[in-house]
This record gives sequence, C-alpha cells and structure tokens, in this order.
Amino acid sequence: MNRKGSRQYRRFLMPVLLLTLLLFAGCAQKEGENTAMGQGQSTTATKEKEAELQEYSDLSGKTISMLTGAPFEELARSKNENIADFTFFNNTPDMLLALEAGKTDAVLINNAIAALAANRNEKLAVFPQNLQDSVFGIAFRKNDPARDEWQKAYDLITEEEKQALWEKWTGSDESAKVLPEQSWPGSNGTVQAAVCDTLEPMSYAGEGGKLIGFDVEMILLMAEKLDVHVEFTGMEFAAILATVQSGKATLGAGSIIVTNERRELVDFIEYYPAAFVLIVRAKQSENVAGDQSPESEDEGGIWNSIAGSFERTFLRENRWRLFLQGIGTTLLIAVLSILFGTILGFLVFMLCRNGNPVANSITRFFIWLVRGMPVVVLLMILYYIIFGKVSISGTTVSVIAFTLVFGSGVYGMIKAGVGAVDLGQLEAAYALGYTNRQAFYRVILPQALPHFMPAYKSSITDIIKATAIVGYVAVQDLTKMGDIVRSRTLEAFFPLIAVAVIYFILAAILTWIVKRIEFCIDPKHRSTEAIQKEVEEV
Amino acid sequence: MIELKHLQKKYPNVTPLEDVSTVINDGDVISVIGPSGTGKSTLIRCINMLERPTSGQILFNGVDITDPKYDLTQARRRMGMVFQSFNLFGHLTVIENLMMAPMDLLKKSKQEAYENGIALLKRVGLAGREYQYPDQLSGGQKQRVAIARTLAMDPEVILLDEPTSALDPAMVGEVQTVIRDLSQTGKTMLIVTHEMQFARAISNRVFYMDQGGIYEDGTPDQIFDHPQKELTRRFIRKLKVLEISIDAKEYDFLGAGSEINRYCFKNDIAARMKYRIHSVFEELVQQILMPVLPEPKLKFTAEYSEAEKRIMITVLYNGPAFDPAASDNTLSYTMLKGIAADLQHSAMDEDGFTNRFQCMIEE
Repeated sequence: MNRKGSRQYRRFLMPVLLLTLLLFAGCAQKEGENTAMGQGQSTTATKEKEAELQEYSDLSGKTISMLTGAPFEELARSKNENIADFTFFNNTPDMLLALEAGKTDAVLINNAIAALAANRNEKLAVFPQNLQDSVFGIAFRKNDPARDEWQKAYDLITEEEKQALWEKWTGSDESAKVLPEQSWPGSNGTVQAAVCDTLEPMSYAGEGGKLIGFDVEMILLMAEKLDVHVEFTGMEFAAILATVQSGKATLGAGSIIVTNERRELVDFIEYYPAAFVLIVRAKQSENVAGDQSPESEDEGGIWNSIAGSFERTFLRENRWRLFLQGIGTTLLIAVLSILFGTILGFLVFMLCRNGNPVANSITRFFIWLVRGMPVVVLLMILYYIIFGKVSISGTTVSVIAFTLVFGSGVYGMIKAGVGAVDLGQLEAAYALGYTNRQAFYRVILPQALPHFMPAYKSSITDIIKATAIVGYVAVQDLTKMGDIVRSRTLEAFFPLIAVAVIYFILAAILTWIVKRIEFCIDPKHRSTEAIQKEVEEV
Repeated sequence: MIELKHLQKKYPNVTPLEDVSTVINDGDVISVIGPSGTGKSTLIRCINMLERPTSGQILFNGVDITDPKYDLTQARRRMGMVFQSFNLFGHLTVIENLMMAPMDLLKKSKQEAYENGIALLKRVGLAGREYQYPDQLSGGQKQRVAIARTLAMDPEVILLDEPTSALDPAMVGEVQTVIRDLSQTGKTMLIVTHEMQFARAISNRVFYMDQGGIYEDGTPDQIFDHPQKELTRRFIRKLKVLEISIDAKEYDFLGAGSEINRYCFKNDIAARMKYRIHSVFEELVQQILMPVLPEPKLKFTAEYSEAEKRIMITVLYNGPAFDPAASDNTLSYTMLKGIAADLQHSAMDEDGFTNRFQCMIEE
C-alpha cells in the first residue's frame, strides 16, 4: 500500500514540476515587460508611444480582433477593404495578449478600454484614427416598460455628474475607484443586472470579485432615483444580450456600444458618448526597454518577476479570495454533479435493467441527446431556452447540465460493468433462491464495481475539467476567476498556470477520495478479522 | 417428489424438449446421459426454472411451480444446483460463499451459518480454506466449494449440471468422490454427466435423453447392459453410425461412395476396413439387391464400434422375402462371404421394410 501511495504521489507531482519549469521559462522570457506592467503605473508613456500602424491603409493584410458578439466587420472593411481576417475572442485580456504575442495585429474596442490598456501596457498603443463615434448603451429587453422608467431616472442625472464619473473611472487614481453603498431603502424591489466582468474601466471585478466600474456606478445612480436595489451578475460579454433577452436580467451593461444591429435585439438607454478605436502594438520596443532601469532587471532577475507576478495575481486586492471563490464554485458544481449524476445514472440503470422497452427507449433517446452535443451547447440551451423564463441561478443550471452529462456516463459505465459480470453469477444466486433484486445488490453489483471504477475515476477528472465552461452562463468558477484576474493584471502566464495547477490538485483530491471509497467498499480488501466479526471460531 | 407433465422447451431455432413427462421420486439418484444437444442440461435447468418451459407443468411436492403467481424463490431454496462452471461468488471468501445465502434467505445467525459452513468444508475436504477467495482455488476445489454452498441451504433436491465437465482430468476424481458420498445421503439428485462408469456407480435410475425427450428410462443395469432401444444401444456402445437410404433405381452410386469415405475419415476407420465397406456396399446393394428390387426402398447402415474395432452392417429393404444367399449372382455372394462374417437374413415388417440382412466386418 505504501509503495502504491508514493507512486500516486509521484504521478501527481510530475505535472506540477513540469508546470513550474514552464513557469520559469515563461517568466524569463517576459522579464522585460513585467517590470513595466501593472496598474497604477504612470500614464506618461502613452504620449511618447507611437502606434506601429498609423493609417487605415496600414491595415491591409492585417488581422483585426474583436469580442464575440461585436458586429463591426463591415465598419472596419469600410475603412480598408484589404483587411486579411477577423478573429473573435471571449474576453478583452485574451485579445490584448494575442495582440502582444503577434497573433493578431489590431484589436477593435471602445475608447475607454483602449485608453486604459495603452496606459497599462508599454507594448500597446492606440491607433490614431477613430473608426466611428457612437454611444454606450444600457440594454433592456425589447419593449420592456422598465426601460422608460430607467430612462426617466437617467434624464435626472446632470452632465456634470456624468463627467465626474467618467473622470473617476478612467483616471489613474485607483484609490478613488470605489462604488457607493446601496444605502437607499430599495422599497421598489431588487433588479437583476447582467454586466461584463472583464472590461476595465467600464465594468470589471474589483477587490473580492465585486463588480465595479463606470457602467456599474451609472446604473446605481439611476437605481437610487428609482429606489430599487440592483444585484449585479458578472459574465462574458457575449452572454449579456442573451441574458437580457431571455429576461434573466432586467438590464445589461458592459460598455455596450449602440449599433443598429443591436437595436433590433434590445432597447437601449444611451448614457455616454463612445468611439470605436483600434489598439495596435507600439512602434519601437527598444525605446521601451531603454526606459527601464537596468539595475532592477539585473538584481531582481527571474525571482523578482515571479514575485511580482505572484503579488499581482494573488495578493493585490486580495485576489487569492477570487481564486478561493472560484475553487468553491468549481468544487460545488463538480461534487454535486458527481453525486447527483451517480444517483441519476444508477436510478436510470435500475429502471432499464430488466429490459422495460419504454424506459429503455426513453433512456436511449436522452443519452443520445446529451452525448450528441457539446456540453457548452447543452449548458446554454438549458440556461437560455429551457430555463430561460425561470429564475434560476447559473450554478444550478450548471449542476443540472453536468448531472445529465455525468449521469449518462455513469449509466453507460454501470451497464458495461454489470455486463462484464458472468451471467452464471446471476444464475447461481437465483438457484440459491435470491430474488432478482437481492441477486443484483448482493452478487452482481459488488462484482461490477471493480469493472467500472477505473472509468468512473477518470470521468471524475473529466467532469472537473469540463466545468471550466460554466462561465458561459455567468457562473464565476475557477477558470472564470482566472480570466477576471487576467483582465486586471493583463498577463497570461501566472494566472493560467495557477489555474492549471489548481485543477490538477482538485482532480487529484477528488480522485483520491473516490479511491478511498472504492478501497473501503471493495470486499477483497477486508481483513480476515472483519469477516470473522461476531463469530466464534470452531 | 417432482412430477414433470408434458414439459416443452422451444428456442427460436431448436426445440430441445418436445414433450417430457416423468416422475422423480424422493431419494432417486438419477443420471441424465445422452449425446450433446439433446436437452439434458435444459431438462434440469427447467426443473428449477432457470429456463422457463415453453409449456407443460412441473409439480414440486404437488405444487405447480410453473404457475406465474408462484414464488419461485421458495422452490429454489429447496432445490440446490451445482453448475459446470462453478459460479462461485468471486467477491466473497469461501466461507462467505457458504454463509451468505443461509443468512440472507434462511435468516440463520452468523454464528450458525459459520459453524455449518465450516462443517461442510470439512465434509468436502477443504477445511482450512475458508478465508481464501475462489480464484485462489483449483477447479476441483472450486467445484467442491460449490457443492458445499449448495448443501449449506440444506436442499431436498440437488441438481448437478455436468459437475466435472469443466475440470482437468486429474481433478475429476476428487469431485466425484464428494458426489458419490452425497448420493448415499438419501437426497434426491439429478446429475447430468458424460462419465458413464460414474453414472452407473452412483445412480439408481438413468435417463437416456434423445429425440427431444427422455428416450429411455431405467435402472443402470438395464440402460448400460440391456438397452431396450436402438439409439440407447448405439450411445452406450459408442457406435459411430452411417446411414444411406435409397428409394429409386437411379440413385447416386458415386455419392454413396463418397459418403462412405467421409464417414471413414471422420471416425478414423482403417483403410482396409474402408475398402471392405465399399465392397460390401457394391456387391450386396449394387450387384445383388438393386437388380431384384423393381421399386427399391433400402436402408444401408454401418455401425462402427471403436472399442471392438468392428463394423456391423445392416441392410433393410422391401419386396418379397429374398435372401441374398439364394441370389443368382453367386459370384457377388461368394465375394461378400469373403469380406464379411456372420451373414444373416431375416424377415421383418417395419416402416415398409420386409427384409433384413446383416453382416460383420472385422479388422
């Protein structure tokens, strides 16, 4: 047992070691930029920085990226017909990282985010031309009467107030970026708001994962006037309009730029002027490197940059709490889905065991359905369509979706495991006078367990990893928390590796627990004393 | 007492049991013998309803256990079964295999089940093995544990389905010894077996199964020494049989020849004997009989006894009484006498045959 245990330990240690090595490699490579990165850094560099691309004609043959759900291809093409390609990302940090890494050449985004990103990251600069002037909007369901009430509240906000708000959130004074408390009585109830959580400074996760930003405070200003409380739910940009349309949230925000196409889907309150701009790489990187103090690089080296990354990823604004919350959510969804899925799979198997044709065909149909589509599609169908009109949390829907997925897997495993037990075992039990049910529990199931436990264990690892997609239905799990942190630190390496390592650890822990359970219920591991219990030897 | 009434078992392709009716008395030790595929196993698996009969009734102590409303587990608790492939519960130790059913089903205390189990293990010669798992035992040991497991339920009837067929020849003896002891205890037993000597030694009654039922039922002496029926005789004496039927003047002579070749090849019959079968067929059937039969109906049968290394040839044919010895074709008859011995003609009347001619080919 001891030797077996240490082998397992080693098996788990290997990937961690590998990842640590990778981490070093990554930090060494990014050393130069890391010291210059991080928020609150001086914004003076922006003025000196020159964009690599200057004119629309420079965009010929280039790739432009935007958020999924941003319909600006035609706009860009109208400026330059020879743009090579468009790519779409689910969140801003990924897009900016892709830009830095040269995987794309320009990122189309609104002016607020662009300014902040260029301020934060020495390697990026704002393309000097505005593609189009527009306006930011808060989205409501089509023909929702609530929009008119909120519009009235909005009209009461003065231009000065709006301007002060803009300056507060796009400014460099981080300490000022605090939301007011919802201290009004809220006698007109609570309203749900869907907000993108990775769009600093408009809407993003601040300390402790609390949603803050210009959009958020703007909504609060209106809410105060309506005397309602607002509950904010953070999600992917692409999910906001769908959430508003399905009625899961009354209003949606996240620096949504009003376009005609979007007006067909939802109604807007237009609350602030906006512009589409492009972020591109800054022209000369030598200059940037020269700005940095050479000593800090030599003295600090890799260790300093790791420490810096670690500080930004985990310590600043107590971000480790975000990771903890994410772990909690991921574990909650995974563990509940495993429990319910196991129960579901088992119950369905028991119903179908004796070949009831109705039960069998229904089961076959549902398994075909659940297995036939990607889990993310199943999840979204459940969230937006089946439970679209029901007030139900994304976490609950995720548990339902993964319960279905895991349950259909468990059903197949039990079926295969039971099928692997020799039919003679059942006959022997019958011949002794056991009923069908007794024979199953006393003879068949204990012998089927060893057949399906290996598959069961590996599917536990699979389901933990698969839960990484719950961000699609506005659940802030571990992966999503990693995204949120990345949207603040604007560096990929440390948060991604940290998330990967945590998944390894979670999978290892859950698998270990199941192994313990397996060991305890395996009749072959009982001691002679246990078998002899309550028996006097003769 | 078990009474079978017009028991029939049909599968989509075959019908192993056409119509079986018999009475098994308490204390009978019955060996069920017969060629493969004649429904021996099906019969005893029907008795405890592991195979549900297609029709017919099984009365166990007067109760119809084929009645769908009857709680089968009650009958099965009183009818133990030993399987060809042991079917010990692989997740349990030997002693637990013996204790589980009495505790679960007869509600015996753990102590009682344990003591009874230990006693049974001693009885089958496996004391000291109680905490081993089935996969640690040899085939013979497994089968002895399986017998002990059956005995742990203290059944009135024990059904043994080829208990030694899956065993290494070296282990057959130990299992047979246990079964032999068991047969002395007065329990009703049915045992499907291919071991004739063993069947004869332990049973007071033998079922020879063939043609979809119990073809012949008798004491071991009767079945093994004086079988009343043709198929029983052939089986007991391990005869390999060739039958060629002719019902037209223009029959396929060459085809008959190659059938004889195939038969000889399959049964490993020496080349000299094969030549003799060919000669008997040619002289007797082709030269002597066919010319005198205007509307021939003839059956040529060769029965090869491997033990005695001889072949008995029987030819049945129609028409008026005709002894080949009286044939005009004296040349052929002389040749026949040269090849075969014990030539005999007799008259008969069965299935449209009126003559019977018999001779023997020795090696």
